[in-house]
Amino acid sequence: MTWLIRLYPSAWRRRYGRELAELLAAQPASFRTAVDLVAGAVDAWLNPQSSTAVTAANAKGAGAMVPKMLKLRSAGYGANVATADDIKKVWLPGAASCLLFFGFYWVLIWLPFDKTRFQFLAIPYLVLPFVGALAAYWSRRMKGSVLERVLSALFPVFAFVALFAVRIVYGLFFEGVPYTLPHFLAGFSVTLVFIVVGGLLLVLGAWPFCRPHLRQQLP
Amino acid sequence: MARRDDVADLEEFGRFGEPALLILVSLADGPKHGYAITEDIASFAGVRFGPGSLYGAIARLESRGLIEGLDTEDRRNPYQLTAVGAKALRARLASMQSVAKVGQRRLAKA
Repeated sequence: MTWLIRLYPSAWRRRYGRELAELLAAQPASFRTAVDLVAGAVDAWLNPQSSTAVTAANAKGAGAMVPKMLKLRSAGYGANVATADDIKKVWLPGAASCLLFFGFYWVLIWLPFDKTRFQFLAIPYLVLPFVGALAAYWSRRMKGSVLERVLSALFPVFAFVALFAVRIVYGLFFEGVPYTLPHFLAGFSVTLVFIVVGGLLLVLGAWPFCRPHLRQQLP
Repeated sequence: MARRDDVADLEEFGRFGEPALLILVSLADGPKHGYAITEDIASFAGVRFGPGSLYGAIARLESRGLIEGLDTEDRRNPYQLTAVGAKALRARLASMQSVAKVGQRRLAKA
């Protein structure tokens, strides 16, 4: 279960990771512990200022005082940020919002509606701005840059393209029924519409959460 | 630098308020590492916090200067109560005690 510690910000892990691993080794693994660790990781990302000792300990020196007073140094800022953290600021909120979206869609297709009606097909598109907003908001809380927030918001598009690629591979090698050009074009057109329209709606939702950080606005 | 309004600090801990208070009570007895804190709290309060909650509270307490880590060669880093932490704990316990007294007095009348 110690692998769950990797969900925490790297600065946090450097400070408490070893102790936490020690504590985990001393107690039996359970689902409750796993949930508690995930909740703790989310908290560490969302409230990096709550553990300023982490960064203060890593950045000993007078130069750290002003940004600390401005609450600009945190688990998500400064020289202690690893590349893995930057990547996490994209995939974690992106994957979370993506799961919510596809979960919602999954529920939707189980409802007793006429699936071919335009109104039904439009529903997933209507929720896309909210999905984009959610991803960008979470990424911003994790101190993600504007680009990272937009990339997080676009995660459903990446997932859709990946699903299309999987569909092609499945159709070509595993389906049993010949996968022909019309099959490909039908899937491609749906994917293309989702990339353009869905992407625009996702970015539209993310837009209010894409203002630069105060740190980036400073000269 | 630790804040002066130490009593308010504990109240600002949100869902980590209870673990933070119990950690302070545990460390009032002397320095302890994470596992020993968990066991101690389980023995006197009957609750066992998960590692995420425990270290979430420890990080908050340490960032506010209420506890501090002791440097040891051991992998398990012990923590001790600071003077600010002791003051915050006293204030918090006094506040809880006065509430308990009022409650008990009112229950006795009922």
